[in-house]
Amino acid sequence: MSLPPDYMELDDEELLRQALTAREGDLRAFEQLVLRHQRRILADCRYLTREPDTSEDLAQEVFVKAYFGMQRFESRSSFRHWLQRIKVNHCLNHMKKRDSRGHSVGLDDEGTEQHAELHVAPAAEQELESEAMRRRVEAILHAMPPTLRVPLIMCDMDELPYEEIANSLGIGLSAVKMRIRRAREQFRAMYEAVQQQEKA
Amino acid sequence: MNQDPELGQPIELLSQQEHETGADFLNRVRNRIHRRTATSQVASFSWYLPRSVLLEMAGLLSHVAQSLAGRKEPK
Repeated sequence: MSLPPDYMELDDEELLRQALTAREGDLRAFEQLVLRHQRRILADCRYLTREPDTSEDLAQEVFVKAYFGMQRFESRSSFRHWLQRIKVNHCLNHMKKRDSRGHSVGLDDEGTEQHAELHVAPAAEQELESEAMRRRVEAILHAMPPTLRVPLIMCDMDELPYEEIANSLGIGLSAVKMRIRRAREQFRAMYEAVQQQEKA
Repeated sequence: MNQDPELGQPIELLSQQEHETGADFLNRVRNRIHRRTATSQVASFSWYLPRSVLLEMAGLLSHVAQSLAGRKEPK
């Protein structure tokens, strides 16, 4: 009898192979993939949708979609990037549905929004620096308009190529490049402003 | 990969962002997978069962027809 594989030591692609060949109901290899990527997928869902309450549900649905779609995975990209694509499509669909119900600002709305979360400095000072930094980044992203925030996350968090961002958002390549440049400028300016605010 | 001169801190912080999940995150993913698997099995069974019954009945009718035809043959 062969020993069960040590899933912790396997890379993503090998885990995916194990998950594909596992007996029905045996989720151990896939669960290892979930454990490995859940924090990142959750952060992405939170920042893309700005919905802390529903982002856990969205992240779980991303993994369920990945599980039932893993037979279609082609090794042209890494598992991580494949998962990011599922997540981006899932979140964008969710946001379109939400916006069509008139619940929130649309993907085409401009203008920086005022968020109380930007003023987290006093509490953050008492926390670990990494947690303070995470909260700072989240607050800035939440305050950015969707037109800039979404392409910025897709480019600099998900590391998707410009062409794919353009296709997903249904806009031209030059528009994507321009939005990402503006988003980076705005993110940098807001980050420095928040840092100065915290020091003061 | 997108090579941009605009990259650097704090933009690079974005690629390191993670958020702690709830304690039951994995359990909930597992439950959703099991639920969806069970639903698809029920759906496929609900299609498979009438099909099997119809095939069985067709086989039975064909068997009866054959035996009747055998009886009518001259001795």
